[in-house]
Amino acid sequence: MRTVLMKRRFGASSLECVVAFTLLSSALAFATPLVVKHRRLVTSQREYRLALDEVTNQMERLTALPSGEVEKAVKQLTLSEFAAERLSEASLRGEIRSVEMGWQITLSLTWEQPTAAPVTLTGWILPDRVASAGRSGQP
Amino acid sequence: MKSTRSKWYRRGVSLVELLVVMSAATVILTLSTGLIHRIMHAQSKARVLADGERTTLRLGDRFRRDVHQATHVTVDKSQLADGSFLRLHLADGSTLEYRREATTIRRVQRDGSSTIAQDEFSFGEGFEVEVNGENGRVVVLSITSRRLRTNDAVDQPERITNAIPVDLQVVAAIGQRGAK
Repeated sequence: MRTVLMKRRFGASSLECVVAFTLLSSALAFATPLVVKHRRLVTSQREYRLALDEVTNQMERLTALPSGEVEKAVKQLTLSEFAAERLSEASLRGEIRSVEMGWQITLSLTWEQPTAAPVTLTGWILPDRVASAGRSGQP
Repeated sequence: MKSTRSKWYRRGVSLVELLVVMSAATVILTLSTGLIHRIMHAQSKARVLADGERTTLRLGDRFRRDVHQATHVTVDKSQLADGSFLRLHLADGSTLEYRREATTIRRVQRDGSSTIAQDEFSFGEGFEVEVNGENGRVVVLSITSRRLRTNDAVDQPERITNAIPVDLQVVAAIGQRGAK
């Protein structure tokens, strides 16, 4: 009976403590950057959505214009105030070229982001459709 | 006698050893608890943000499609019912009304006095809605979180009061669907 009591363990060895400490430290070191990365990912996703909205809005404005004004409007493209406030160092670029069916417009938006790829949207405008779209509706 | 004394001595731990182990355990537990708290907070915030983004996308898409289908729109508040900020008149004679409520934006489709369909977009409290018509061709809808600057901290950046930060601006051309 006495022998059994003597062999019972009441604590942990130094080696066990060191192993546990190392494992926990590793877990902490691994998890902390994940939290930071997660925050960056959320911001980046929001910025990407804002950029997509911006190029879509610009395209929408262009397609609503009368056919004669589209080319001039593409050359004078400016970023909306809304997007400029939310996307740092954003710049919008537009290209228009004549194709068989009408015009092909390519809008490209770049801003300060980890991945350098810009958001690009391409649309095609038929001159007669542009004119009819521009005439309809009175807000 | 020596052997017995030595065995008795090794069964315990010194005060220094105990303090060292307790300090190490405290540090690890504090770090772990902080990390778990931050992870749980990040998870709940991510869920709220994802909900907000989904609602924003859904509203943006729905609004653009509605304006494309409209023959003309009314943004003048004097011609709209209380709470409404936009009315779209469709080719089939029905109307679509966008209404701002406390925490939501409600989209109601009516045919005469009867309601055909309703849709709700929830953003939480503290968002602002602005609608403008430009040149009779496009309608611009902006929804943003209300930003407040506290009086006692003028030099601090603006604080978003909304639990779900909303940033949406949709430009839609009137009658695009009809023109195609």
